[in-house]
Amino acid sequence: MSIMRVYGCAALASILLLTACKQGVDLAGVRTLAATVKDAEPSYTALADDYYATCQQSEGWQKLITFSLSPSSKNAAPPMKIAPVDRPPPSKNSFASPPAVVAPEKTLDASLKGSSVCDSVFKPVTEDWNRVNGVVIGYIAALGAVAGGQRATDFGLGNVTSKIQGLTSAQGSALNEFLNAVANEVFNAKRRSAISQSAPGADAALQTLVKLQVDAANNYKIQLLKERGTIDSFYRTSFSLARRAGRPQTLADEVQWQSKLDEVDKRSAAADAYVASVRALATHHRSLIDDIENDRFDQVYAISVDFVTEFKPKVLALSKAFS
Amino acid sequence: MTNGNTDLPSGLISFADQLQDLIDELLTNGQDQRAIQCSQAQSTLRTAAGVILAVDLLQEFQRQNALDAINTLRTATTTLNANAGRIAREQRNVSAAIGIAAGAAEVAGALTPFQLSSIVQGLVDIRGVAAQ
Repeated sequence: MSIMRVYGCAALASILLLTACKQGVDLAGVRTLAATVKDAEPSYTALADDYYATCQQSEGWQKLITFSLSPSSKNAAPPMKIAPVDRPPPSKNSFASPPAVVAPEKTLDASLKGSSVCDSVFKPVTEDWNRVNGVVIGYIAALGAVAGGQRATDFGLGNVTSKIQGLTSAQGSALNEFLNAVANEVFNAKRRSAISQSAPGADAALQTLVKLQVDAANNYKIQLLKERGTIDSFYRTSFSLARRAGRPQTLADEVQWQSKLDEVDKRSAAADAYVASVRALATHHRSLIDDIENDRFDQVYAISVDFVTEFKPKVLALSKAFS
Repeated sequence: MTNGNTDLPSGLISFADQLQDLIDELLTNGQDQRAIQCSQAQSTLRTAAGVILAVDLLQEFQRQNALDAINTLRTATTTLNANAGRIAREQRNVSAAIGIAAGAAEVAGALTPFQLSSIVQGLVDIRGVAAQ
């Protein structure tokens, strides 16, 4: 048993030395945080992409209104504009007729999509928003990478302890487990130390970017209000014109109108979920920093469990809105 | 929004929405030309509101403190990833070292003390020849 005592004392000494440094990071909490935020990445991208899409859709609805009010058409299909075709002069030495140049067919759908405003102003916003989302998620993922895997590493110490003569099988196994735990704790200490060195300096930057994410989502919600208003205008204008022409609006028309509005409302709710999730992220990162600064070991995991409980349904709502 | 005043765009959108009542009434009364004019005004108000909002947000994204925050977080991410890689490598090295130790113990256990001393002597001899 003396060998056990030697190993035990040495291990205890190393653990005490390691825990004397700044170690107030609960690695399990950080791992949970990182894994959950990583899951949210596709939903965040979908939301930011929708900023550009909402501009295109609003423009599309507006063009439909203009088209329905056009006095010349009275709801008829728009006249097709055929682009002038430049035919090269026929070659004197060739009997073959020149290839026919066909003007690209511009469908009604294509003519309704997009506008220069969407491309010049809304698209850069979407790109910047996605960049900020990527930076925040990348940072949390890196915290998770430092925190390590969910399971402790098996260093294969059993192969060595089994060679020590005079130990029973149970003693060998206990020694193996103990040494493996010590080895893992050595590396966990390095992990905590690495997080303690980087996270406090990054907190202010994270809080700035999260605030930006919240501003972007609130801005997006007002853009959605605009899209909603444009949809409303289209249906009301169409129904006014239809009533005047003696065609009453049907229940199907009403249902379709409402479903379009519901779709916008669902995206607006997704923006709320996004705001709640990034705010929770900022709060929990702040808690992590508090733990590091106050050398508290065990707070983060409990906080992270609360975070996941709060965060997961939001992310689920986000995913559903863009599925 | 920090720099933003969302009151103006929200007000423009609200006003554009209210114009719809007028458009409906004009259409009902057969004043199509007036309805078209109102619809165009409505569209302009909405476009203006959308652009004001988007430009505000774009400026916010491109403000110096936002760019600084992005750089700070990217630097922290790079450092964290480098540390994660280093720790993972160290763990692998420890595993490898333990594997070698286990292998050595295996060989030592399989040999008699006489055979082991012969091998060690052989290694010493080789080292001596190499040094000459």
